[in-house]
Amino acid sequence: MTTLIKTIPYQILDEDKRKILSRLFLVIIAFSSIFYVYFAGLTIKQMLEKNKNEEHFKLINREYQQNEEKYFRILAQLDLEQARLLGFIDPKKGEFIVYQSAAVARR
Amino acid sequence: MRRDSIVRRIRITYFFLFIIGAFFIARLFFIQVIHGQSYREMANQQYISPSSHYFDRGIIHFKKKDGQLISAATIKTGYLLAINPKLIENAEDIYEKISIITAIDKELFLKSVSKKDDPYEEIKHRLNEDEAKRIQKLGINGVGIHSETWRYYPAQNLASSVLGFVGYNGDKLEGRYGLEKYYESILKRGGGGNLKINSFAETIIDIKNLVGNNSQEGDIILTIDPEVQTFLENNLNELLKKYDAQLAGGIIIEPKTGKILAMAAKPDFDPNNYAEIKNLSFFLNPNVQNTFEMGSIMKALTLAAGLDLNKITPQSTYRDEGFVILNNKRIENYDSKGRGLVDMQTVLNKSLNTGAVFVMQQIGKENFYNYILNYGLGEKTGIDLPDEVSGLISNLKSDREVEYATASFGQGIAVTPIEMACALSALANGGLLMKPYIIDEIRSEDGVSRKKIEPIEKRRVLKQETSEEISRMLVKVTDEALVNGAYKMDHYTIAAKTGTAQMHKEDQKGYYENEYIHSFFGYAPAFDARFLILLYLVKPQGVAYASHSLTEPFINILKFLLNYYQVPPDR
Repeated sequence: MTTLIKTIPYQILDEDKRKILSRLFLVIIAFSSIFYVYFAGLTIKQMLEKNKNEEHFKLINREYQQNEEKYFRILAQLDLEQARLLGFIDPKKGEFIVYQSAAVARR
Repeated sequence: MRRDSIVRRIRITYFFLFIIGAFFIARLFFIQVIHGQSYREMANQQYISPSSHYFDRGIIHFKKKDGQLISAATIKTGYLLAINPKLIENAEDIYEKISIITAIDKELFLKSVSKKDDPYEEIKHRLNEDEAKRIQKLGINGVGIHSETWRYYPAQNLASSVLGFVGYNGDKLEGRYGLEKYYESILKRGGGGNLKINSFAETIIDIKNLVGNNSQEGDIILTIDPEVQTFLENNLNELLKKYDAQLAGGIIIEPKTGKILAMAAKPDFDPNNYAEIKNLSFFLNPNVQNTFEMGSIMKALTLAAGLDLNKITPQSTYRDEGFVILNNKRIENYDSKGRGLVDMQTVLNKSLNTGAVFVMQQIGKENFYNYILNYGLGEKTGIDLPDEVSGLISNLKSDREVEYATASFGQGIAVTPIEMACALSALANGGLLMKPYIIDEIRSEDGVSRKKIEPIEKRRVLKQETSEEISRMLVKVTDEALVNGAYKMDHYTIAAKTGTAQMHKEDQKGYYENEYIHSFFGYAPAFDARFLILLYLVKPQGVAYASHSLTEPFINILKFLLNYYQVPPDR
C-alpha cells in the first residue's frame, strides 16, 4: 500500500482529493470494524440461539424417551390378569353382529 | 511538506493497526495456548463436543395399528465422566465425593489417577443428566463431564432377535445381528452427523447438501406392532417358564400380505447389555436362522395338496391299521392304534400319520415333492432379515417312499418357522405364496418417505377352492377335535392344527425318545383370515402334546388380536 501511494504522483492529487482519500480510508476502516463487530455479534447470537434450541430439543427428546420407556414398562405388565385386577369383566352375553365375507363362500 | 504530512499520517495509522494486530495475536495466544485446555473443558461442558463417543445412527420404529411410531432403536444422549490425572490431587477424597453421586469402581479410579502422564482417562460412561450436573457442581479441578451418545433400545428385550444390536466388529461400530445388520447401509451415518461447531463450519458442511445428496441414509419403520409383539412375547415367556423348554418361538403374520405383525423367540437378550450374554446363540433369530421338523402341522399342507389335485375329498376314506410299513420301516400313529375305515376329516381331527401317508400315496411322490417346492419349503423366503437359511428337504431327492411318507406328517424334512408360516398362509389366503416382509417403510432423515414396501405375491400354489376346503376342514378341527372342542369360539371361525414331533439327534441318525418339538398354527376368521399365528416349543418338559401346551396361549393371542384389531364376528 505504501509503495502504491508513494508511486502516485503527488502533484496529480489536489488538496480536496487528498482529503477525500484520507477520509474514505478512515470510513472504510470504520465500516469494516462495524461490520466485523456486527457479524461477529450475529454469529455469537446465532450460536447462543442454536445452543438454546438444542438444549430445548434435548429436553423434549429426553421426555419423549422417558415416555416411551414408561409405555413399554406398562405394556409389559399389562395382561388379561392385570386387566381383571384393574376391574375388567369378561363380557358373557355380548351382542354380536355377524358379517359375511365376500372373499369366500361357505357351506 | 504536504506529502510528508500524509506519509506521517499513514505511518501513524499503520502503527495503530500494528498495535491492534499485536494485541489480537497476543490475546489469541493466551486464549488458545495458555488457557486452551481450560476453555476446551468449559466448552465441553456447554456443548456437545465432537469426540469418539459421539455416535449417530438411523432410528428403527415400531408401528402401531393407528400409524403411531414408537422407537425400537434410537440414540440416547448422556454423559461421560473423565479425569485429567495430572490435575487430580487427593484422589481418595475425590473418589468419596463422586461415589456418593454415582457408583464408580474405586480400583479403576485410583489406577486411572496414577497415570500422571496421561491427560485423559475415562472413568464412567452413560451418566444421566442429574448425575452429570451434580458432579459438575462439585467443581473439582481435573474432573470433566463430556456429552456422549449411544445406541439405545427403549423396549429392552422386546423384538431383540429381530432388531439385533450395534456392536464392534474389529474397531468399527456397526450392526451385528438382525435388522441392525441387514439395514446397515440405511442406518449408518457419516462421521460427524448433524454436529455443527459454529456457523462457519455449518456453512461449509452444508455445501455438500447444497451440491446434492445421494446418501441412502434414513430411518426404518417396522411392520411390527409393539402391542402385538409384547403380547406374543409375554405368552412365550410364560410357556418357556411353565414347561422349562429350551426355546419358545412364534410368528404372527397377515396371510393376505405377508406382513409380519410380531416375531419372537425366547430366551432372548437385552440389546442394551448384549455384552452380558455368554451364549451367543441367543443373538440368532431361530425364526429365520434355525430349521425344525415341525411335525403334524405339515398334514394340513399334505391334505391341501391332495385336495388341490382332486386325489382326495374330505369324505375320502382309507383303512387305518394304526401303522404302515414302507421300505422295511414301520410308521405308526401317535398312539399306535388303528381306527378302521376313516375319512380325511378324521385324519386331521385325530392327526393320523397313516392318513397323511395315504394322501401322499394318492398324490404320488413326484407331485408331492413339487407341492413341497411350490409351498416354498426348502427355499429362502426372502424376508428382510440377515442370514436366513432355507429348509432341509434333501431327503425328498431319494427314491425311497418312506422319506416322502415321513415328510407328509412333518418328519424327515426340516424348515424354518418363517418358511412354514408362509406356506401355511397359502391355506388361509386363497392359495397364494406371499413374500414375508418386516419393514413397512424407509424414510430419509428429513422424514420424507423414500420407499413404501408393498406386498409381493410369489406364486399361486393352491386353487381358491382348495384354500376354502382345507379351511373348512381345519375349522372342524378346532370346533370338534382340539381339546374336544373346548376352545371353539361361538362367533369366530378358527382354523387350526397342532403338531408334536420327535427331535432329531444332532449329527447322528435317529430321534430322541423323549425330546419333542410342539407346534401350533391357526388363523382367523378362517374364511377371511386377518392373522395367522404359528407357535412352537422346543423340548418342553412335563407335557406330552402340543394340544396341551400351545392351545391356550394360541387362543389367548387370538382373542387379543380379534379385540385389538376390532375384527367383527363371522358366525
